[in-house]
Amino acid sequence: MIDFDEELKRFIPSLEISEVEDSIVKNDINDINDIIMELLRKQAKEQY
Amino acid sequence: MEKSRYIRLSNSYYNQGLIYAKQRDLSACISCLKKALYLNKNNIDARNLLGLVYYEIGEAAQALVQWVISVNLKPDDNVAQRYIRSVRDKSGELEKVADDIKKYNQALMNLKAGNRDLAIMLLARVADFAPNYINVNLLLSLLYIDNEEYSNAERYLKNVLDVDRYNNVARNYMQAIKEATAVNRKKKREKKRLKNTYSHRSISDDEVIIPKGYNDSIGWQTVLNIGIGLLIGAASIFFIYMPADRAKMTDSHNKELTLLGEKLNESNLKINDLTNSSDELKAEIDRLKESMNTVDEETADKIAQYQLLAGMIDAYKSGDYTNAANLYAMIDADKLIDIDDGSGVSAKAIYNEVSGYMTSEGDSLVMSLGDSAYNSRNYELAIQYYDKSLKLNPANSMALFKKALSYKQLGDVQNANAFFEEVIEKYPNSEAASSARLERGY
Repeated sequence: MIDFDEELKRFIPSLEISEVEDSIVKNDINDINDIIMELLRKQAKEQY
Repeated sequence: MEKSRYIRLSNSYYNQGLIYAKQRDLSACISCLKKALYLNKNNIDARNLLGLVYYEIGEAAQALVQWVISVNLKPDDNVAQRYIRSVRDKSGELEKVADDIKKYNQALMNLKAGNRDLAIMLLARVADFAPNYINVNLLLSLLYIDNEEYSNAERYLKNVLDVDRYNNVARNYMQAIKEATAVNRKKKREKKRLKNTYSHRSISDDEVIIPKGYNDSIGWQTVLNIGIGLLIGAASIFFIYMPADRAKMTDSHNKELTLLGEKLNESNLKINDLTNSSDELKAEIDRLKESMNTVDEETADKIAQYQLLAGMIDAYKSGDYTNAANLYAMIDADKLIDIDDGSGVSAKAIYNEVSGYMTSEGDSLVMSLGDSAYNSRNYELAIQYYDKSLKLNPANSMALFKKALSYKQLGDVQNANAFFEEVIEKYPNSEAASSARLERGY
C-alpha cells in the first residue's frame, strides 16, 4: 500500500523559468577532472 | 585516471543514455546522462540530450539551463541554439510552460497547507493541457489514489507511462491501484454473499411479526398521498394565489420604477452636474429589492440596468473612467426605460450623453482591463473584457486580436484561429492583422 505522506516527500518544486538565469550562474559544472585538478593543486600548494 | 579515460567513460554513459531515450526509459536516460556529464562536462551531446529529455518530461526550465550552458561551452555549430530559439520564439510557449511550472509549485504549497482540493484543481488544469509533465501527473494520481478514485488515478498514470515507459513511481502506483481494486472487489463479493444469507436468529416472545406485504403497501401509498397533496398545494398557489399577487406586485413595481425615474429627473442628472443622485439611486434600488419577494424577470432586468447606470455615474464622478467604461459596456440600452416627463432629462438621455465619450475612449480603457487580466494569466476574464471593448467599438482590431490570443492561451485553437482569421479579413492593413498573420504562420 502507498503511504501518502511518504510519497509526497518525493515531490520537490520544479525550477521556474524565472530562476533559469540564477541557476545557470550558480550551476556547478565541474566534472571529475576539475575536482582532481583542484585536489592536485591543493596538494602542490601544501607541499611547497 | 587519464583525462581521455574519463572522456571515453563519459561517452559510454552517453551512448547508454541514448539507448534508453530511444526506448523511452527517460528516468534511466537522465541518470546515465548525469553520469556522463559528471565525467566530462564538455560532453555537449550528453548535455543537449539531457535538455531534450527534461523538456520532454515537462521540466522546461531545467532544459533551458542545460542548453544555455551547452551554448556557452560550445557557441558555434550547436543544436542547442535551435532548441532555445524554438522555445523562445514560439508564441506563448514560454509563458505557458512557466505558468504550468508555477501551478505545480503552487499545488505543492497548497498540499503543505492542507488544501488538497485546490491542489487537485490546479494540477488537473495543468495535466489536461500538458499530459507530458510527469511530476504533475504523478502527484495528481497520488492524490486520487489517496481519495480512492482509482480510475482517475489510472488515467494520469497512463500519461506518465506514455512519456516515460518504465517510470518506477508510476509502476508502483499502478500496482497499488491493482491491489486496492482487487481488495475492493473481494469486499463487494463478500457483502453480496452476506446479503443473501438467511438469519437463524430466534424470535423472542414479545416480538411482533409484521407481514411483509403490509409494510410495502403502506410505504408507497404514503408517498403517493404526500405527493398528491403537494401537487394540489402547488397548483392552488400557481393558479389562484400567484396571478393575483403578481398583478398587484407588477403594478406596485411599475409605480416604484416611475418613482425612480422621477427621482432621476429631480436630481438633475446631467453628467456635468453630478451630485449625490447616484447615492439616492442606490438607496432606492436597495429599498426596492428588500420590498420585493418575487420579481418577474423583466422588471428585475430593468432594475439591474438602473444599478449599472448608477454605478457608472458613480465611477465617472470619482474619475474612475476605466470602471465607468466597463459598466457602460454592460448596460443594455434597450432595457433602459426612457422616462421623460417633459423636463428633458431621462435615464436614456444620460446614457446617450456619456455614449459619445465612451465610444471614443471607453474601448481602450476596457481593453486595458483585459490586458491586465491577460498579464495575470486570467485568460477567461481577459476575453470578457475584450468582448466588452468590442461592444463599445466593434472596429477595435487590437481587441479582437488579443481575444484570439487569449483563446490560444486557453488551448482553444479552433476559436483562436477563427478570430485571427477575422482580424486578417476585416482589417488587412492593420498592425493587428500583421500580428495575426504571424500567429497563423503566414
